[in-house]
Amino acid sequence: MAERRMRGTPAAPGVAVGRIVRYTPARAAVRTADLAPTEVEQEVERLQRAVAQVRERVTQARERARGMAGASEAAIFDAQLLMLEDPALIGEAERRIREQRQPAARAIDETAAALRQQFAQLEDAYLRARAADVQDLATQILRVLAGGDGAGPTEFPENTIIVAEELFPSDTALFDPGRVVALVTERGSPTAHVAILARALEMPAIVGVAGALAQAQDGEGAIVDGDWGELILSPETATVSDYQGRVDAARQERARLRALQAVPAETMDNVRITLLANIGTPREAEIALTHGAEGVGLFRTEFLFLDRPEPPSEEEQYAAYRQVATLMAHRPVVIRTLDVGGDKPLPGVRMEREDNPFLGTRGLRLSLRYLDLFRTQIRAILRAAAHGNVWMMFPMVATVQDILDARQVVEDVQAELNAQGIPYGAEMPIGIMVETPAAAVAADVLIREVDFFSIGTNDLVQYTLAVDRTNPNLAQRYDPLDVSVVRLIAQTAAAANGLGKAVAVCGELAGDPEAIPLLIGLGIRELSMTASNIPRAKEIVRSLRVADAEQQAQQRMLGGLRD
Amino acid sequence: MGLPMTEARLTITHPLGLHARPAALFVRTAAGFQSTVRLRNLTRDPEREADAKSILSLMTLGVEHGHEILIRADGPDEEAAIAALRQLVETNFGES
Repeated sequence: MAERRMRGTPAAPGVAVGRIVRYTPARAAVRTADLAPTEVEQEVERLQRAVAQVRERVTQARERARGMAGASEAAIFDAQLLMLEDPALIGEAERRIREQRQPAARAIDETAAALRQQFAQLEDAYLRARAADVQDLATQILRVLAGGDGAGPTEFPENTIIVAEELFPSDTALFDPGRVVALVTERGSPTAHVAILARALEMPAIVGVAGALAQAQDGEGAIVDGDWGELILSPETATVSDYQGRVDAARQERARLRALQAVPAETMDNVRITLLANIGTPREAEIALTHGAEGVGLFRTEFLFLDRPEPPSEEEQYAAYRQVATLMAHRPVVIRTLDVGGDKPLPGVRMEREDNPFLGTRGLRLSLRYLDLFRTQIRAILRAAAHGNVWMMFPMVATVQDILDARQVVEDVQAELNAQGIPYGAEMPIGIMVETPAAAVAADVLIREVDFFSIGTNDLVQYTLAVDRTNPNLAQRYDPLDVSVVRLIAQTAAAANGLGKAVAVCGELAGDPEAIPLLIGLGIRELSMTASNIPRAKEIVRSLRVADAEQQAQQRMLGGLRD
Repeated sequence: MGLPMTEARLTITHPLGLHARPAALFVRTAAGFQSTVRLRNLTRDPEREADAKSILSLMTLGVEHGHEILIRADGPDEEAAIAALRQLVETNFGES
């Protein structure tokens, strides 16, 4: 057969080369005729036995998931176990058997369909996705009622690429990652459990590939590109060898990183360091999780504002922030308000030319000048904070007055949301970037007005050393570990630690292998970096002792040379 | 209903609302009492009522962070049921 390419939505990254197995578990025939009155109690018991059997399977799936993917993925099955006791599902099906004399299979089928419809109407994507749980359980109960053990086929040849109409958590938990290399479904969304599990199992997956079951043949060679969302059927030899190289390289890298993912970022003397990711778009949040990020230490919001004719609406911003907050669940997400200066054109803002934009109206200064823009962003962030562990952070702060002005705007916006009865995160922590020498020098004063600090080393180094990092003539002078910078970081950390408030470093320095021991020695316990640097940073953290790091830091504070 | 019921109005402060773990805990707690326990989401739709012992029913109320809920219990241990659920919500589901 000739090479054919089909597109879908990427659901789990990575590439795989293998052979197609079309996975089409037979849908149990549902008896439709009503029961005779004498059959009713017997039918209720039959349902209860089937439910018990499925409960057993879900419990096993939970244990498997716990071993393969971790506790948070196993929680999917905890919720399913609760649903198996649920009066709205099982109780309602029993009522249909007793009162309407429906056969067990029809009772479960119709109850599940009604519930799915109710869930489909909910606004919240997470809750909407719970409809798949209901369907998953109903399908398993139907299979048992039809005389099976509830499972679909589970024995596959090596390098199997599963193609299915839709997959459910119980299906994927039984897939053997040693044999199944990728998943392709015609339906489903990237937020479905199957996508979450696939990512946790590092199995490439594509969803929404319309017509895949009809196009693909059992046993046909194929490639799944989970990064692009492409299924290539009967690939040509050149295509295969190209992808095989990527598969092999990815496998080696994964093995190395996997060993690190399971272990905490803890020093040899048992001090826990929190490793967070810097992201610039919602999509990067997912990548951050796969690299083991414990949260988002810096969510840059500029992507929403640049290269467009109109500023983004409150709703558009809210949707983007909420997406990340929901995805990160309990993990912190630090959203930084707009951080641009007069050197970057902004939609809807007529900026005056400034002779020295880096010492001009940038960051918080710009937000405080264009209040409508600022208020809209704060509203969106506050509202998103109702959906997760969201923190708000202001960039380019120099004085206490900057903080007081910004907090006043936040209070005004909160009062407005209260008056309108719009839910928001009232307890959201508010902090600042420490990136001007002024903020670092007065850190002990500024910390009283905020909940946390995040040290932005890129700008802090430029402003402290008075060196433009992009000026090639000064490249030698741009030393992020100069004694002046080290002292500023130390006193900023001390000011926050002294009051028990959080302090992170979120500049490039945080992911720099040479700087990590020093930062820890200076009292920093949270590092936020490009996600791909996290595994390496973890290796470094695990190889050092805080006592040694502190000693090194002391030397640097006194101007001692680096080792 | 002839007999008086016990009820409580509470605001959900857990960042996840009544989803996931908080929802499961809420249902498990409610299910531990004999009384019927019903729940309304006053913020979203004060008319609709759900069975607090059903996670599916409860999830369809879409209770999010900051929403106000009304819990009503009716039965022999209604006061204990309300007290237990109130404590669960007010201690942020054991996370604060």
